[in-house]
Amino acid sequence: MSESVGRVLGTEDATPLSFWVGVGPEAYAQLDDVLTTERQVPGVGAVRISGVVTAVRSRHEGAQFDSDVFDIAGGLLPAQVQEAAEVTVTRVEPEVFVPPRPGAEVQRASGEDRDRALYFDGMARQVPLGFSRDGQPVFLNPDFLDGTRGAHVSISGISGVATKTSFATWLLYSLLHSGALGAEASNTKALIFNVKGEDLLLLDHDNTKIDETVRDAYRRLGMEPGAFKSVEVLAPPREGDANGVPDVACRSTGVDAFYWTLAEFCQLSLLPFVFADGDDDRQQYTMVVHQVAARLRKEARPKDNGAISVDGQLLTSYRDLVNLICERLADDETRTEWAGSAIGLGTVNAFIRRLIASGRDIGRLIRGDLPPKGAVLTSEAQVTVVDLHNLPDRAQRFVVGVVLRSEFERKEKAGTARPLQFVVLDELNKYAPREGTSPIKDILLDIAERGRSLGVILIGAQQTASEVERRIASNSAIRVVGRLDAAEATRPEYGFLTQAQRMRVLMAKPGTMFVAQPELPVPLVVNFPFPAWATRPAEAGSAPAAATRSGRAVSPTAKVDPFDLGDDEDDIPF
Amino acid sequence: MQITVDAWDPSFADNPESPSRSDRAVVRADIELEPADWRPVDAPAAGPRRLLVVDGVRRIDARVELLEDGDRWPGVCVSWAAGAVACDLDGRTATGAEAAVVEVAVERGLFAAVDPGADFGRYPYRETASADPGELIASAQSAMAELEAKVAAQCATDAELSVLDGPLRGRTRLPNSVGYIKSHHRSYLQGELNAVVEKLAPGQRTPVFHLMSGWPRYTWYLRLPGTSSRGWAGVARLEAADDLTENAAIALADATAAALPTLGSAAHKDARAPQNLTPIAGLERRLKRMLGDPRLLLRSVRAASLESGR
Repeated sequence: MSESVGRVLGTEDATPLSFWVGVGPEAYAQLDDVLTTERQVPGVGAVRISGVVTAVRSRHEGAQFDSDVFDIAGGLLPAQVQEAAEVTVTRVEPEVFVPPRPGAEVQRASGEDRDRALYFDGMARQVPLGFSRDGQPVFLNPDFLDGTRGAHVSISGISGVATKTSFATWLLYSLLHSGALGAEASNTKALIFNVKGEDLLLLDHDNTKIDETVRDAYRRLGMEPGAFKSVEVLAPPREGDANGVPDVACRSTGVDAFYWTLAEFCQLSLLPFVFADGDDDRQQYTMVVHQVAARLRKEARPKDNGAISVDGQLLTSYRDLVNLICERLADDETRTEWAGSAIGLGTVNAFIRRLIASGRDIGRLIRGDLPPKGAVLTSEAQVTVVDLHNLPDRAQRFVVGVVLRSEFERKEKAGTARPLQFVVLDELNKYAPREGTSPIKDILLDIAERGRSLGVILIGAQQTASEVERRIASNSAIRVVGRLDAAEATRPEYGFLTQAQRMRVLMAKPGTMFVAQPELPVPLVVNFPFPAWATRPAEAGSAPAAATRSGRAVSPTAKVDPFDLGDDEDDIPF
Repeated sequence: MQITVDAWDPSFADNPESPSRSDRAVVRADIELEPADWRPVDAPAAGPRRLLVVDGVRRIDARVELLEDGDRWPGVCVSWAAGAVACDLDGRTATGAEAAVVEVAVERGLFAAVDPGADFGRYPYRETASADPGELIASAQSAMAELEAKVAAQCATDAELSVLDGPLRGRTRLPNSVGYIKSHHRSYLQGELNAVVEKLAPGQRTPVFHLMSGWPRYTWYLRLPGTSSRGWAGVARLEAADDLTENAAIALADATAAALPTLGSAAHKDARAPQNLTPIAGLERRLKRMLGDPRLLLRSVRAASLESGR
């Protein structure tokens, strides 16, 4: 039988939405405990009211003045210590919204009672989220993740301690390995943008720093601890490297370079993504950007190795292209054709200035000297990590924008939501800021609003949800909050947190998240287990089987790039 | 029989003082010191650390009138409670570092000279000797004293000193018990001896003297710290049982002089400071709360009287 915690208080109002419990002398109630009570309603029968503890307090009864505490502790004044707990109701069953009666016994819910209180009983499929404070597992309804009834995840929290990316990868791991998606799990793909350090580049390496308790935690949640099975890392080519060797330090296998050829750049009109800064949007030269992009698509003739020729002139690098555009714009005769009519010289010059500046950032991503790899980045691997951390800001925006657009277009053409494509993107406040518009924001909005039906699920993370486009946040069915800044926590974007939780997020420890899902009126506090995959080279165990299967520690790059010689400079075959 | 309940709030006209009986006081002052040597006595350095404080409270919940054959008989519905607090001045108690209420009891009764013959719910009938309102209150007071004695008797008696609020009369079953009287309606000492009381410094007591006024007991005055030490401010009177030896009574007096000054309440917290000791004040608050809500009880009395009138 369930353990009795205390009785419903009569000195505080008990309502169908929340009530206070006087905690018995031999019992305790802590935050996040699940409590349940019952009352008889005439004509209806027993109504079970269950909820989550959202506040606890203890006081000296019989003390009138603050200084009485010293008399009481000194043995002079009789007083009683009384604890009370506030329960925020999550479920009333059957749905007769009556308050519990003062004096009614309150029990700690366990087993089926707890599952019912937290709606786990109604979840046909369950994605483990971690453990609540009482050590019991907490689940997420995947219906709200895979587009069946909702989609998208929004994760907020301050940098460093909120463990946003860890939670995002944990959620992916749980989704793919818990069996919640069934057979579909093996076809489900994930695209992760790695923006900070080389944190996410070792997802397929076992973590050697975890101990048996962490492994046990995974098993208790119904999955084997381990690394992601099938991971491919895509990294930008090394700066100044003619062969397009990926710029990654911490791993040598399972890494491929990503770049776009000049031909793709012109045909797919990628130029606007070079100017995807929020700042760019306010300038007049946006018109020039689109005019030039249209001109390039029309004029460029593809040549070998992704090079193009424009008006018979062979261009093999981004710099060549920049120079050509600058020449055409500087020339009075061709300016109208390239920049459009009625464009002021100042606007054209502003565009030229920025275009030249972009050469340094984007140069290594737009190639005329390497074979085309296709615009779509996703590979055969289940998880594709796109490494952006070495790239300057403008290049990061360019990559995110182009990759997201091509992914979205691919799914649009496929016309079916399955298999699902998850997209993990940090710093959402940079790519989809509340103010202004940019080509990336348009795509992210498209994903947020139509992605559910197309099978593109955004797992977005940001430091401040208040600075992210409202429509993106409001379309996220699952909202997750880690540690927050005090000023940020008071913003209306976090209205789904209870008053006490708003205080608690200020001191949330790494690994603790507040997860709001549509079925539950109260966000659940979750401790998710330490990653079972390496998050930095020091933790990395043996190289995964999938990455070495191709043998001889040869980069998979070799399969698609016959000219990549890797480090074997001596072995030139010709 | 017809029963009516006084529409007035019963707290009006409640005289908390028990009726005074003017007995002739006989004082024998040569117990500890010869009357000629009387002077303030200093407290010993060390005193008892484990105290038991017993107190009772009483409240008139309703006044009723019983009409029978044209005769009017007054009655009162009274609630009273008694409790005991174990104080450990070193802060070591079984339940942690707190003063603990070890025993509490609540009783109620309808005091009248004639039996109303109706069920008054929570208030069982208690017969009184006369219909005089003063006598009704006195009966209630003695019922409370009985309950206090009962509570005190049920307490574990490992206390080094038991302080019973009010005169000790008849309540001598506890070992090391003293009666504690906060206010002084009469002055028992005469002349020079009385002047010693006024000369007491905080923490000092008068020598023990024997008092025969209604019933015999040892008694002494003690000045508590916290107010000005002039006149009778902060002076309490303590009583010990008559059947003690003189030396035992003096030892008890020393014990109270050492222990009680630390229990004195602060003027900003208690209107009856410093005589109303902190544990007593805390216990009284708790007991009053346990008496229940007076409006609710009055309503139940009214409901019962209507039932009986049908």
